[in-house]
Amino acid sequence: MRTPSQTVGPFFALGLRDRPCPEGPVRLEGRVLDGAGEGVPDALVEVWSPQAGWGRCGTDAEGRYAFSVRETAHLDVQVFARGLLKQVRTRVVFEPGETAKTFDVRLQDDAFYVA
Amino acid sequence: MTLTPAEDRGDPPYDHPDYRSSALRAPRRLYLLPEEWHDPTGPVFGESDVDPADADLTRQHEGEPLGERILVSGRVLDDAGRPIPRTLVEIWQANAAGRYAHQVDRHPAPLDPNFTGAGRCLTDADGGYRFVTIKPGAYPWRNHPNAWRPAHIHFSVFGRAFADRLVTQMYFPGDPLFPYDPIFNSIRDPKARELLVADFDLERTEPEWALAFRFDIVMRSTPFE
Repeated sequence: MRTPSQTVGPFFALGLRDRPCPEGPVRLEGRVLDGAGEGVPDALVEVWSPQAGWGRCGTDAEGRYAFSVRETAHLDVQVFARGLLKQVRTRVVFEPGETAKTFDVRLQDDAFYVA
Repeated sequence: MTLTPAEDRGDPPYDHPDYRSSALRAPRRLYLLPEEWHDPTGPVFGESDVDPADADLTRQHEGEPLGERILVSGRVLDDAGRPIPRTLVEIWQANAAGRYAHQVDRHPAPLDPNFTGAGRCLTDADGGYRFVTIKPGAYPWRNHPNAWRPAHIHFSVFGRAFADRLVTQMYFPGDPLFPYDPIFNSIRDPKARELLVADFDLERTEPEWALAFRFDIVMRSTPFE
């Protein structure tokens, strides 16, 4: 039996420090929003793809996050926060040559995926 | 909403009204990950990602922190029982008084100038990890009247694939707060809850120095390799 998930809680920044992806020309930014449309100021956004590598970023007071990454066809995205008993998963898909993308994560309006 | 296999692994549901913070944050539209999105890869960590001193939370400042010194060790395994070596394990916790060294924590318990409460290490070839720390205190929170979190240490583990990523909490055996904690009880299967409770480990105790607890972490074994 697998070890179950628990929420990251409000104080994760103590242990889970921000880390940029390997630097690249593609800008990804957005906000994490709750069901009332308010920015989530205590979310942690992690991204990964084999091309772009891994990075993570805690949201600011308005729920904003940002990464500068290498060109990649997509980034797998996981968002952790107080109130989420386990992370949510989604994927950002980039068009060829796209260098800037805004990707908001609406926790109660967007679709998420279960691995 | 598609029914998810996540329930099988003992994970809590997202929607858990007893945990008030989930009300505006729990997702409502869940689907199975599309087959073409399966990715067996994930970040690889190395010695440059950790400092050996990061695994001893009692030696990060001038003096020693107050509280009960403990050793927390275990193995990170996949659900086929194979060790997961060289994976990053990160922990964070409150101090002995139940206060986090975080600006958002307003609990009127003392901060300890000798304790930050954060550590990290890589697992060894057998998937083993070991931290030296202080037993965290219980603390109140505002979820419901007279709500207290049982003492716990937060754990973050990577595993082999990014899809296997796990963040959880380790609890201490026999905590009288278990029946009242909506986060612990968000896991419906009592056997799954039990996996989050460390075992007291007399054999690993260091006489005249520190008590020991054992906490093994079992991760999904990525089926796409």
